[in-house]
Amino acid sequence: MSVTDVLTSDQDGFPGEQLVRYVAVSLAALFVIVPLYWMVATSLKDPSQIGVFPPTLVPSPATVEPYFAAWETGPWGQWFLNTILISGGATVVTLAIATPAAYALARFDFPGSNPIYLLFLGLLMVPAQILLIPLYNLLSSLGLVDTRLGLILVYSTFFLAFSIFLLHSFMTNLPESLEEAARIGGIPEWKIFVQVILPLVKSGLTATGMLIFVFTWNEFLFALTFLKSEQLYTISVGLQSFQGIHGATVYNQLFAMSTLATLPVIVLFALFSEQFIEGIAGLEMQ
Amino acid sequence: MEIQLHDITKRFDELVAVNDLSMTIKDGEFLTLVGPSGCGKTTTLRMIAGLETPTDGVIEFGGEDMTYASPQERELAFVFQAYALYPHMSARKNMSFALEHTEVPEEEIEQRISETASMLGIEEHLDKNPPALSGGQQQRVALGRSIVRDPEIFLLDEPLSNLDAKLRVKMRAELQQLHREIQTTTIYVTHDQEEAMTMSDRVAILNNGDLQQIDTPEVVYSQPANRFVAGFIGSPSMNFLDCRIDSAAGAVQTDAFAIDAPSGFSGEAATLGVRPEELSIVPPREGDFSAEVTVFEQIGAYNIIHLAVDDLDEGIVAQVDGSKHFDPGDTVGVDIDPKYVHLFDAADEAVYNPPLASEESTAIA
Repeated sequence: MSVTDVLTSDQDGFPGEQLVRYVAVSLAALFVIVPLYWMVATSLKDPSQIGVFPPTLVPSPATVEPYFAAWETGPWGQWFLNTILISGGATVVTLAIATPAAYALARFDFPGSNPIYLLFLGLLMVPAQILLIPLYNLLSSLGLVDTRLGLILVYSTFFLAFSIFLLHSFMTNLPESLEEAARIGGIPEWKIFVQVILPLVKSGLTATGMLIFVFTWNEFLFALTFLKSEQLYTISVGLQSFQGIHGATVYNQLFAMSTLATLPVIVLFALFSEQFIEGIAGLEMQ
Repeated sequence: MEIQLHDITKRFDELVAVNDLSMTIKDGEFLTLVGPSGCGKTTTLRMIAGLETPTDGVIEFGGEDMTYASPQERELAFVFQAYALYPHMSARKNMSFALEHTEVPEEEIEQRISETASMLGIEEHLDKNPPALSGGQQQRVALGRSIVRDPEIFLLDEPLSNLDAKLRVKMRAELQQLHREIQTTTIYVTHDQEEAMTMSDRVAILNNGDLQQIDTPEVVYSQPANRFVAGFIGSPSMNFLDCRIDSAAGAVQTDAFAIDAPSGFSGEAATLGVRPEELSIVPPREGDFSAEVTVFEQIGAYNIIHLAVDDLDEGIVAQVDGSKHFDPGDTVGVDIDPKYVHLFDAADEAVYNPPLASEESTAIA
């Protein structure tokens, strides 16, 4: 089928519907791609091409010099490592608690199971900022302020309710007869959970995990509040330091580091996009 | 393994799904639980499996109280209506999964799987995952998963209802054959009276949570305990006509006609039941009464005619030989052999049933 065929095909509805769809999708794509492009393009410019009018759309000459210059401005290697540890840690801790909790709430009718689930749903309504000060006090009394573990626990607190809610929907979607069949087969409960349930909610786990990872990777407010020592900063906090240290913002260096910070997220999506989409689609089918 | 149910009741909030059910399933027996949807048959099966706990009553396996035992402890096999195969495992893994958690050595697991697969004709599908298999193949894998465990008790919940009609008849025969080979106590749930009649040693008919009758297919067909069983078993269904007994004349009197009362019968009856296959169609003005053909259904081996009778509110259905053809509007005579009627009292309990064909032939011999 040629491009013209696709654009003029009206098999799905009114004439030209396909065309309208393509235009809409293209606009949405532009909306996302233009800022990304601008970030990458600026990171490859030398200072003479920045802040000029009309703006230079394509860096000329293109240089990777801002990357090297920016890398020297702080312990970026350490900050990347911190972010990986904190985001990864928050993802693992959250899923490790939320998955069995969601299974228990979805499948076992124990006293108080409904109120507990409703409580988790209610937690979704609480704005994170409200908890900033109480959480700070709590962590402070535990001696966990300005530690990676502290921030991991804070993130997990926020994502627990959300993850339980998501995973609960995935699990209620599975036919109960699968577990019943396993039970009758004499399989112990924990093996049913690990060998029957977990593999079947894999796409749901992937989708939930990615949402947690990406959000915590980009998170700024809590990281700024709970991390004080420079060597514990995450990337988003590190990026902010560009403005502070140098007075006037050095845009090409800022964008060079922003580009590097974006890369892992893009790679992650590329690796797991299929499962992520499957997971999200699975939710929509309910 | 013998299974005994003692006064089993299961309530879901207000709803009584199973009401005071008692029965004994003998070791090696093929028993079918049959009834309309909502009659409590699946709930009964799930209680035997341990997937539901009875509200009241006791379940015993071989004399041992299993009422509150977990499904894991009961060591039985269950074939689900929708098969419940693990979609992420190959057919082989589906069959071996439960055995891997037992002490059965790996070689024996392999051997059992290959024997079972060849018995069920699924050898070449063992490495496929269930979504890649057809309905009939999935159904065989589900059976195989149960068979390899060599259970003492086999429970099947409408295992054929998702198959097309042809495959259903084929699988019906295969299941009977299978039961003859493995001789395991089997409880089979279906809403299809034909499956119940063709496969079982005994049939238990349930309605609204109450056991109506439990006996061999021949008895539930020829000597139904009440009007519900009489109407549920047999297709097309038994004809029911309001009647009264004229004891002076020794006759069963309906609104339209009278026939002789069955010999030896005395008492009261409110409903006359006659199976379509027991009605004889004779030339007009012969027989017990005349009727007009309203619908003619060509089946092939036999045909069905629907009849309207003057003064009778109910229509009558008759089964005739496949060679006989009628048109709507034809007038026919209908003859009823008093020996093969059923009589029910005002409470719908059977007060007269014909003798069993098997006993009659013994009597003749």
